[in-house]
Amino acid sequence: MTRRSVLAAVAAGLSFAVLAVDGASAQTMKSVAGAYTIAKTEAYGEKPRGQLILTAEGRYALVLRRGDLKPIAAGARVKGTPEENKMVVDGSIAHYGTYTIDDGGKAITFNVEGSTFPNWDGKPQKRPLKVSGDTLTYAVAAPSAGNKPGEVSWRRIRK
Amino acid sequence: MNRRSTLAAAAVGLSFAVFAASSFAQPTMKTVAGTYSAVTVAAFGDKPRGMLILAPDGNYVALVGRAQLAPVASGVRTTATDAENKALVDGSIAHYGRWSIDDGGKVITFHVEMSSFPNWDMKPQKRPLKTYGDTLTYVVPTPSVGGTPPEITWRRVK
Repeated sequence: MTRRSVLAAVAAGLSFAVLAVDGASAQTMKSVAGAYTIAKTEAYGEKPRGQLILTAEGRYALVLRRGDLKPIAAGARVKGTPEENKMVVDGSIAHYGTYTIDDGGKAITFNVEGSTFPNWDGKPQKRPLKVSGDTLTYAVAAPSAGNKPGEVSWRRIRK
Repeated sequence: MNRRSTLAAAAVGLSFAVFAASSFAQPTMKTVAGTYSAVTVAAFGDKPRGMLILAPDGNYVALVGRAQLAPVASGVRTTATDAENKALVDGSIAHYGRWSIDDGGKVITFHVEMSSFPNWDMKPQKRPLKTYGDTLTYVVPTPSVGGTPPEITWRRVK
């Protein structure tokens, strides 16, 4: 073995070790549990806002919203005009229930119990998952707004 | 001191100890943090549904609504009819942000960041708090439907 081939072998071994460590850190409920703020979504305008909490015990709740919704002029939720109600429904979604990390960390399943979009109630939604550092990203195959499948990214809130 | 009066004194002492323990065990963020299911929310009928997660790091998400909300017939959130939109807005509310326990455990403050009722955005809401076992109850001084301040009760999910 020449010196160069030894170095190449060592380099290859190191790369494999790095790859193995990365691949071995599969996501679990324990590793993803926490509070997140929205980082990227295409469905809620240029300034989306939102928060997701995943508890270590397997419960979750999330709210996603456009940042630019206007107050309801009457000051009471049940007195919105048709335009105001449409603004709220088009511009926000919230749901809660239990969640699991599946497929060896490659998917997150939201078992939706209740939602502001009732079509989702009682239905599990399995979403391909990627986690990189503080960023958690999943793909939504059937978005509630009927738009094409998209990715939603959340960033862990650090105190 | 005879035996009976000794027993009576012990009983009184015990009662006081129990009373002291319960009255001084004021709620803190540590004791209140957790996941709750909606029990009583007058605005959403007899069987409201909802979840409140009070994370120990001070973040929260809350969603409550009527037991039955009809699905949007078109299957698409943004093509709901006026009547469907009204049913959804009238029948649910969600908000999130940070929370704190204040006034020595007598108040929970929701520092609302954003809500499905945008009138609440970025405004702290201080709500008188009572806790009893697994039950958490607070009064909403300025309910989103207007009118009399209701009590909202949640039960801790095991």
